Amino acid sequence: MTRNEKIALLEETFELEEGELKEDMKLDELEAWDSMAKLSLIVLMDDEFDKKLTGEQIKSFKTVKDILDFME
Amino acid sequence: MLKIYFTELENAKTHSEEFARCVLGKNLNVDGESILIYRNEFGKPFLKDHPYIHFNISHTKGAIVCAVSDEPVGVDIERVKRFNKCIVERFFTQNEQNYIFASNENVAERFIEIWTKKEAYVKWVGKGMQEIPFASFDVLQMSIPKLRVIKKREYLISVCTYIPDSNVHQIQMKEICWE
Repeated sequence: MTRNEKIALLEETFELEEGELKEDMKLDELEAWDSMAKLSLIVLMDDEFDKKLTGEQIKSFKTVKDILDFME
Repeated sequence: MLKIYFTELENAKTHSEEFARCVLGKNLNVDGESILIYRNEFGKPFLKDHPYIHFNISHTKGAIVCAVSDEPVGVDIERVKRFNKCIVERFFTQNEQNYIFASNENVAERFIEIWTKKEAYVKWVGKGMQEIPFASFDVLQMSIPKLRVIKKREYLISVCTYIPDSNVHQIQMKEICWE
Protein backbone atom coordinates (compact mmCIF):
# COMPACT_ATOMS: atom_id res chain seq x y z
CA MET A 1 0.00 0.00 0.00
CA THR A 2 1.42 3.39 -0.98
CA ARG A 3 1.70 6.37 1.36
CA ASN A 4 -1.16 8.11 -0.47
CA GLU A 5 -3.37 5.05 -0.18
CA LYS A 6 -2.73 4.99 3.55
CA ILE A 7 -3.65 8.67 3.84
CA ALA A 8 -6.86 7.92 1.91
CA LEU A 9 -7.62 5.09 4.33
CA LEU A 10 -7.10 7.39 7.30
CA GLU A 11 -9.34 10.03 5.71
CA GLU A 12 -12.05 7.41 5.34
CA THR A 13 -11.55 6.22 8.93
CA PHE A 14 -11.72 9.75 10.33
CA GLU A 15 -14.62 10.68 8.00
CA LEU A 16 -12.67 13.43 6.27
CA GLU A 17 -12.88 14.65 2.71
CA GLU A 18 -10.37 13.40 0.15
CA GLY A 19 -7.21 15.53 0.27
CA GLU A 20 -8.03 16.99 3.69
CA LEU A 21 -5.31 15.11 5.60
CA LYS A 22 -1.66 16.14 5.31
CA GLU A 23 1.36 14.32 6.73
CA ASP A 24 2.60 17.25 8.76
CA MET A 25 -0.76 17.98 10.41
CA LYS A 26 -0.67 18.03 14.20
CA LEU A 27 -3.24 15.61 15.59
CA ASP A 28 -4.09 17.87 18.52
CA GLU A 29 -5.20 20.53 16.06
CA LEU A 30 -7.27 18.13 13.97
CA GLU A 31 -10.99 18.44 14.74
CA ALA A 32 -11.61 14.82 13.73
CA TRP A 33 -8.96 13.44 16.14
CA ASP A 34 -11.29 12.51 18.98
CA SER A 35 -11.84 9.38 21.05
CA MET A 36 -14.03 7.77 18.38
CA ALA A 37 -11.30 8.33 15.80
CA LYS A 38 -8.80 6.70 18.14
CA LEU A 39 -10.90 3.57 18.63
CA SER A 40 -11.56 3.47 14.87
CA LEU A 41 -7.80 3.59 14.35
CA ILE A 42 -7.31 0.61 16.71
CA VAL A 43 -9.86 -1.35 14.67
CA LEU A 44 -8.24 -0.30 11.37
CA MET A 45 -4.74 -1.29 12.46
CA ASP A 46 -5.94 -4.66 13.70
CA ASP A 47 -8.14 -5.50 10.72
CA GLU A 48 -6.10 -4.08 7.85
CA PHE A 49 -2.52 -4.20 9.10
CA ASP A 50 -2.63 -6.96 11.70
CA LYS A 51 -1.06 -4.56 14.20
CA LYS A 52 -2.09 -4.14 17.82
CA LEU A 53 -2.26 -0.48 18.72
CA THR A 54 -2.15 0.43 22.41
CA GLY A 55 -3.35 3.53 24.21
CA GLU A 56 0.24 4.46 24.97
CA GLN A 57 1.16 4.28 21.29
CA ILE A 58 -1.83 6.45 20.40
CA LYS A 59 -0.73 9.00 22.99
CA SER A 60 2.74 9.07 21.41
CA PHE A 61 1.32 10.02 17.99
CA LYS A 62 1.77 13.74 17.47
CA THR A 63 1.30 14.12 13.72
CA VAL A 64 -0.39 12.27 10.86
CA LYS A 65 3.10 11.18 9.81
CA ASP A 66 3.50 9.29 13.11
CA ILE A 67 0.42 7.22 12.27
CA LEU A 68 1.61 6.60 8.73
CA ASP A 69 5.01 5.45 10.01
CA PHE A 70 3.25 3.00 12.34
CA MET A 71 1.38 1.59 9.33
CA GLU A 72 4.67 0.67 7.59
CA MET B 1 -27.59 22.21 40.48
CA LEU B 2 -26.54 21.38 36.95
CA LYS B 3 -26.40 23.82 34.06
CA ILE B 4 -25.68 22.58 30.57
CA TYR B 5 -24.52 25.21 28.10
CA PHE B 6 -24.61 24.45 24.40
CA THR B 7 -23.42 26.42 21.40
CA GLU B 8 -22.94 25.76 17.72
CA LEU B 9 -19.90 27.17 15.95
CA GLU B 10 -17.11 26.41 13.51
CA ASN B 11 -13.76 25.24 14.88
CA ALA B 12 -15.35 23.89 18.05
CA LYS B 13 -12.12 22.19 19.12
CA THR B 14 -10.16 25.44 19.01
CA HIS B 15 -12.76 27.37 20.99
CA SER B 16 -13.98 24.84 23.55
CA GLU B 17 -11.84 26.01 26.46
CA GLU B 18 -12.58 29.65 25.65
CA PHE B 19 -16.30 28.79 25.71
CA ALA B 20 -15.91 27.06 29.08
CA ARG B 21 -14.09 30.12 30.42
CA CYS B 22 -16.96 32.35 29.29
CA VAL B 23 -19.57 30.06 30.88
CA LEU B 24 -17.62 29.73 34.12
CA GLY B 25 -17.11 33.48 34.24
CA LYS B 26 -20.90 33.97 34.11
CA ASN B 27 -21.43 31.42 36.89
CA LEU B 28 -18.72 32.82 39.13
CA ASN B 29 -19.43 36.44 38.32
CA VAL B 30 -15.86 37.05 37.31
CA ASP B 31 -14.05 37.83 34.09
CA GLY B 32 -13.77 34.49 32.29
CA GLU B 33 -10.31 35.34 31.02
CA SER B 34 -9.01 35.52 34.58
CA ILE B 35 -10.06 31.93 35.34
CA LEU B 36 -7.25 29.42 35.62
CA ILE B 37 -8.25 26.00 34.31
CA TYR B 38 -6.11 23.11 35.55
CA ARG B 39 -6.21 19.51 34.35
CA ASN B 40 -5.64 16.28 36.21
CA GLU B 41 -3.23 13.67 34.85
CA PHE B 42 -5.99 12.25 32.61
CA GLY B 43 -6.98 15.63 31.24
CA LYS B 44 -10.12 16.33 33.32
CA PRO B 45 -10.37 20.09 33.81
CA PHE B 46 -10.94 21.63 37.24
CA LEU B 47 -10.76 24.96 39.03
CA LYS B 48 -8.21 24.98 41.82
CA ASP B 49 -9.41 28.40 42.97
CA HIS B 50 -13.10 27.37 43.09
CA PRO B 51 -13.14 23.78 44.38
CA TYR B 52 -16.94 23.75 44.89
CA ILE B 53 -17.63 24.36 41.22
CA HIS B 54 -17.28 21.35 38.95
CA PHE B 55 -17.43 21.49 35.20
CA ASN B 56 -16.77 19.45 32.12
CA ILE B 57 -16.42 20.29 28.43
CA SER B 58 -17.04 18.38 25.24
CA HIS B 59 -16.97 19.31 21.60
CA THR B 60 -17.75 17.75 18.30
CA LYS B 61 -17.66 19.09 14.78
CA GLY B 62 -19.82 22.22 14.91
CA ALA B 63 -20.81 22.28 18.58
CA ILE B 64 -19.54 22.65 22.14
CA VAL B 65 -21.19 21.74 25.42
CA CYS B 66 -20.08 22.78 28.89
CA ALA B 67 -21.71 21.40 32.06
CA VAL B 68 -21.37 23.31 35.33
CA SER B 69 -22.39 21.79 38.66
CA ASP B 70 -21.81 21.84 42.40
CA GLU B 71 -20.78 18.19 42.24
CA PRO B 72 -18.65 16.09 39.87
CA VAL B 73 -19.96 16.01 36.32
CA GLY B 74 -19.02 14.38 33.03
CA VAL B 75 -20.42 15.46 29.68
CA ASP B 76 -20.09 14.33 26.09
CA ILE B 77 -21.57 15.51 22.81
CA GLU B 78 -21.62 13.82 19.41
CA ARG B 79 -23.42 14.39 16.17
CA VAL B 80 -25.63 11.46 15.17
CA LYS B 81 -23.80 9.94 12.20
CA ARG B 82 -22.97 6.62 10.60
CA PHE B 83 -20.66 4.47 12.67
CA ASN B 84 -18.20 1.62 12.50
CA LYS B 85 -19.98 -1.56 13.57
CA CYS B 86 -16.63 -3.05 14.65
CA ILE B 87 -16.41 -0.44 17.43
CA VAL B 88 -19.67 -1.75 18.89
CA GLU B 89 -18.57 -5.37 18.62
CA ARG B 90 -15.20 -4.76 20.24
CA PHE B 91 -15.76 -2.07 22.81
CA PHE B 92 -19.39 -2.36 23.96
CA THR B 93 -20.94 -4.97 26.25
CA GLN B 94 -23.24 -7.64 24.83
CA ASN B 95 -26.19 -5.93 26.51
CA GLU B 96 -25.31 -2.61 24.86
CA GLN B 97 -24.86 -4.33 21.48
CA ASN B 98 -28.29 -5.93 21.80
CA TYR B 99 -29.80 -2.53 22.61
CA ILE B 100 -28.18 -0.83 19.60
CA PHE B 101 -29.08 -3.54 17.10
CA ALA B 102 -32.55 -4.26 18.50
CA SER B 103 -34.10 -2.88 15.30
CA ASN B 104 -32.98 -1.22 12.07
CA GLU B 105 -34.62 2.08 12.96
CA ASN B 106 -32.54 4.79 14.68
CA VAL B 107 -29.51 2.50 15.02
CA ALA B 108 -27.06 5.39 14.65
CA GLU B 109 -28.87 7.37 17.36
CA ARG B 110 -28.78 4.44 19.78
CA PHE B 111 -25.07 3.98 19.04
CA ILE B 112 -24.37 7.65 19.78
CA GLU B 113 -26.48 7.43 22.93
CA ILE B 114 -24.37 4.55 24.27
CA TRP B 115 -21.12 6.12 23.08
CA THR B 116 -21.77 9.50 24.70
CA LYS B 117 -22.96 7.86 27.92
CA LYS B 118 -19.75 5.87 28.11
CA GLU B 119 -17.66 8.96 27.47
CA ALA B 120 -19.64 11.00 30.01
CA TYR B 121 -19.15 8.30 32.64
CA VAL B 122 -15.39 8.04 32.04
CA LYS B 123 -15.14 11.84 32.19
CA TRP B 124 -17.22 11.92 35.38
CA VAL B 125 -14.73 9.53 36.98
CA GLY B 126 -11.97 11.80 35.72
CA LYS B 127 -9.90 9.22 33.92
CA GLY B 128 -9.45 8.12 30.32
CA MET B 129 -10.79 5.23 28.27
CA GLN B 130 -7.41 3.56 28.62
CA GLU B 131 -7.86 3.39 32.41
CA ILE B 132 -11.56 2.48 32.19
CA PRO B 133 -11.99 0.34 29.07
CA PHE B 134 -15.38 0.83 27.43
CA ALA B 135 -16.17 -2.89 27.54
CA SER B 136 -15.62 -3.02 31.32
CA PHE B 137 -18.90 -1.28 32.23
CA ASP B 138 -22.47 -1.25 30.97
CA VAL B 139 -24.16 2.14 30.82
CA LEU B 140 -27.59 0.55 30.50
CA GLN B 141 -27.27 -1.08 33.89
CA MET B 142 -25.87 1.90 35.74
CA SER B 143 -28.14 3.61 38.24
CA ILE B 144 -25.59 5.56 40.31
CA PRO B 145 -24.27 7.89 39.02
CA LYS B 146 -27.15 8.85 36.80
CA LEU B 147 -26.62 9.01 33.04
CA ARG B 148 -28.99 11.21 31.08
CA VAL B 149 -29.16 11.90 27.37
CA ILE B 150 -30.48 15.09 25.79
CA LYS B 151 -31.20 15.52 22.10
CA LYS B 152 -30.32 18.89 20.62
CA ARG B 153 -31.05 19.03 16.89
CA GLU B 154 -28.66 16.52 15.25
CA TYR B 155 -26.58 16.15 18.42
CA LEU B 156 -26.88 13.94 21.45
CA ILE B 157 -25.51 15.16 24.77
CA SER B 158 -24.98 12.75 27.65
CA VAL B 159 -24.45 13.95 31.20
CA CYS B 160 -23.25 11.94 34.17
CA THR B 161 -23.92 13.21 37.73
CA TYR B 162 -25.22 12.07 41.10
CA ILE B 163 -28.38 14.15 40.67
CA PRO B 164 -31.31 11.72 41.20
CA ASP B 165 -34.56 11.83 39.22
CA SER B 166 -36.29 13.38 42.24
CA ASN B 167 -34.08 16.45 41.74
CA VAL B 168 -34.28 16.58 37.96
CA HIS B 169 -35.70 20.12 38.22
CA GLN B 170 -32.18 21.19 39.21
CA ILE B 171 -31.01 20.55 35.65
CA GLN B 172 -31.11 23.48 33.24
CA MET B 173 -30.26 23.47 29.56
CA LYS B 174 -29.10 26.76 28.06
CA GLU B 175 -28.27 27.50 24.45
CA ILE B 176 -25.83 30.32 23.93
CA CYS B 177 -25.25 32.23 20.75
CA TRP B 178 -21.56 32.76 21.18
CA GLU B 179 -18.84 34.17 18.94
